[in-house]
Amino acid sequence: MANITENISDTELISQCVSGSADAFRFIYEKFSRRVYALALRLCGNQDAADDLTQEVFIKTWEGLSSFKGESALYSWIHKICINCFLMKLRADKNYEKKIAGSSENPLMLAYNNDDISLDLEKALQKLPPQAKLVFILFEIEGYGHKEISKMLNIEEGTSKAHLHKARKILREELAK
Amino acid sequence: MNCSQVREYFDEYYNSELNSETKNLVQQHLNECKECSSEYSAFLELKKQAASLKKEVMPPKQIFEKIEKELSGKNKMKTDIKITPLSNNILTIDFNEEKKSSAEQKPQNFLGRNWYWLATAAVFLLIVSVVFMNYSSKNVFSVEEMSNWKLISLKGGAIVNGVRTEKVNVGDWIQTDSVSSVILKIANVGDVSIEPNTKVRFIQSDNNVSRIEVLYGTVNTTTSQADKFILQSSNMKVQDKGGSYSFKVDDKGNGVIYVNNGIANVESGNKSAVVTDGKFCLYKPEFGVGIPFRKDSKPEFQNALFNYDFNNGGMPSVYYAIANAMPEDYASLMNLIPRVDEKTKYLVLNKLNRLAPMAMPTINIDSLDYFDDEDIEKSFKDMHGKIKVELNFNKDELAKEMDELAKELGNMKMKIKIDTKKMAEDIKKEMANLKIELINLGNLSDTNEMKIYLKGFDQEEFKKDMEKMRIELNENLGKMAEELKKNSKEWEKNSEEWEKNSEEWEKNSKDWEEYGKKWEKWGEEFGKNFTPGKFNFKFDSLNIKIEGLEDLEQLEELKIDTTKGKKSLHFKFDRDKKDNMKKDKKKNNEDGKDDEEKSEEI
Repeated sequence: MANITENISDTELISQCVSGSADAFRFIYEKFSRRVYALALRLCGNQDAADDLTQEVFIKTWEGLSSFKGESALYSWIHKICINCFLMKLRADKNYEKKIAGSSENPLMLAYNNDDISLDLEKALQKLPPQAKLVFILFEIEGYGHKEISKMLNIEEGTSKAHLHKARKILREELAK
Repeated sequence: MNCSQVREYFDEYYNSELNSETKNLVQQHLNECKECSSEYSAFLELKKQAASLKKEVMPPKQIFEKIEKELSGKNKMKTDIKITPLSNNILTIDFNEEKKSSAEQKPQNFLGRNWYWLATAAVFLLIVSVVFMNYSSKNVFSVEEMSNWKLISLKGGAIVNGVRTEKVNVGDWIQTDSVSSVILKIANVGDVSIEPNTKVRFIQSDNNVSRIEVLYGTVNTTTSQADKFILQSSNMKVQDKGGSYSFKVDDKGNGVIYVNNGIANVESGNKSAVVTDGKFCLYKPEFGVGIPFRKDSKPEFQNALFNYDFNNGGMPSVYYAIANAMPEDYASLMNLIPRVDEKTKYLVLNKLNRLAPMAMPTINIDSLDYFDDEDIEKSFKDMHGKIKVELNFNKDELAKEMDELAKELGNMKMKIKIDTKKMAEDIKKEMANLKIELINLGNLSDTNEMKIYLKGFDQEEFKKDMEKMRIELNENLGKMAEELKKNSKEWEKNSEEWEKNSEEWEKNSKDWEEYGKKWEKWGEEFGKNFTPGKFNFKFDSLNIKIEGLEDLEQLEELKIDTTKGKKSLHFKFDRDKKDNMKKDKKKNNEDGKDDEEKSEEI
């Protein structure tokens, strides 16, 4: 499946999806779901919430494909849907923070060897306050700048920088333990 | 370039985004400063680790199955969401848009691409198009319904942009006079009441957040959702977290906020405060937002905070406030933490631990340096229900309190004057409690010049004490939970018994009901055949049913007793006779035809 999807361009897949092709949509899912799932696991911390988020992201992707203009890469667009969905859940449900309390047994943690130093960082990430974690993930792992993050999260650029500073400080302390 | 400036530039330096001059300065500093060089190494190490994190994880198969199932029930590509570019790279999604046809969702030109924002602007223009109806005759107007915001009533006169008019546009100022008020309803968010003698401006909402700017006057809000409504004046803003609050600002920009319930975040420049229910918070343009406080706190506490916030009171005022804090002041103390130096943070925490130990598990002592509004808000939410001191004002009392506070803020004077001697004593006492030695109290004659030097505070020991207390508290909570669990089991058992009993009672009550009905019927019959004064009974038509008495054959004696002014009937009958009759009847049935003849004879 992976080989087939690599040979079809995103534009072609989108065009077929808009015509109602469920197969084309499955190709899109196969192509991007692993990256979306890794992001969802990192944002949510536990598998159940990440499963729900991933499901919601691809439903929104299907529903919104007709309005996708191709101004950015398809993955960037899906990726932003993922972050927006997560933020909406966080804002809409006061208990969502509790629901997404991190677990050391989620599939992301299990993808590492026990002695892998990255596993320590993954675990430390789940100990960050939500805003600091979100900013760190967006800046350091997903590669956004403070300007983009501030617009996404509706905060000042300075606040984004402060969250990043706070996240780095806590992570270093956690990793030093 | 100093160390903190250099550290601010780490990201730009790493990404080669600095101009050559700044880059050289940073480079030079890193070469010379060991601490910053080591800090930069740690920064690089963390970046390296972050870059090596897994970017892909295979999702479980069930996810796609669920997606297919969900989508199979929907119309293909008929979306109810709208995704619109905010900038070249950022997208925003509005999931609440009504379903649009596919053609509407495929805009081809600039106008089309930006239809959503243009539409929003158009809707907003409609929203603020206010039509006065029956204004002159009834002194009350209704406003046409608007999609998002709705003005439902206006009592008295309103002046828009200096003249009485029927229309209001985006950005217009609306002014109420001494007898007028406006209630603004914001769909799915709540109500905003614009009180008399107030001047406000409706500002266009963005990202589903509604904003109102207040030039002067009083505004009361009640909202059901967090982060959907912002009230702002020229230098400050109040971010609503859901609940109700009152906001008053005078013509010089001095502000008073009172949160009736819920939480409101108040921000101005570099200061901010998290205000919870029952607290006032003051604001002065040249000083920013003060620490929230309760009006029933000790006057010394309120006064100390006022001096700290708006009178350059400095640390002596903070210590004086700490010394005079009461348990209900825990929210004020938490708001102090982000504003004071490291040592004082621990002093505040120590006081907090003594006054409101339930607050302690919500504070992470290890990251106290970074304890900010977000953490305060989280702590309040975690504590919700555990610590609550009721304080109710009626509307008039609140308005009076707010007027007085605004006046005090304007005059820069609190009602209580500082007794510097008492202040020094209070601080000394507080420090003794904290096992901290006070080296010098400075000049006692002038509060603002008083300097305090402390020594003997062991931060690590304090942390250990805190951790111990936290563990003890958690253990106690565990014990309490176990006891509750045990009790709840007993309650459950009891409730089962109660349920069982109540079933029996219900059954009994039905029987009693039946008996009651029977007696009622009997009473009715009895009444019909009883003529008072004559004791004349017609027994042939008297229907009496008594348990055990099934046949008149059983009746041996019937007596009417009228002695001692009472009127009662006495029956005497033989139960056994009934049983014997039954036996006889049974026997007769068994004997067949002959029996029928016998019964006829009977």
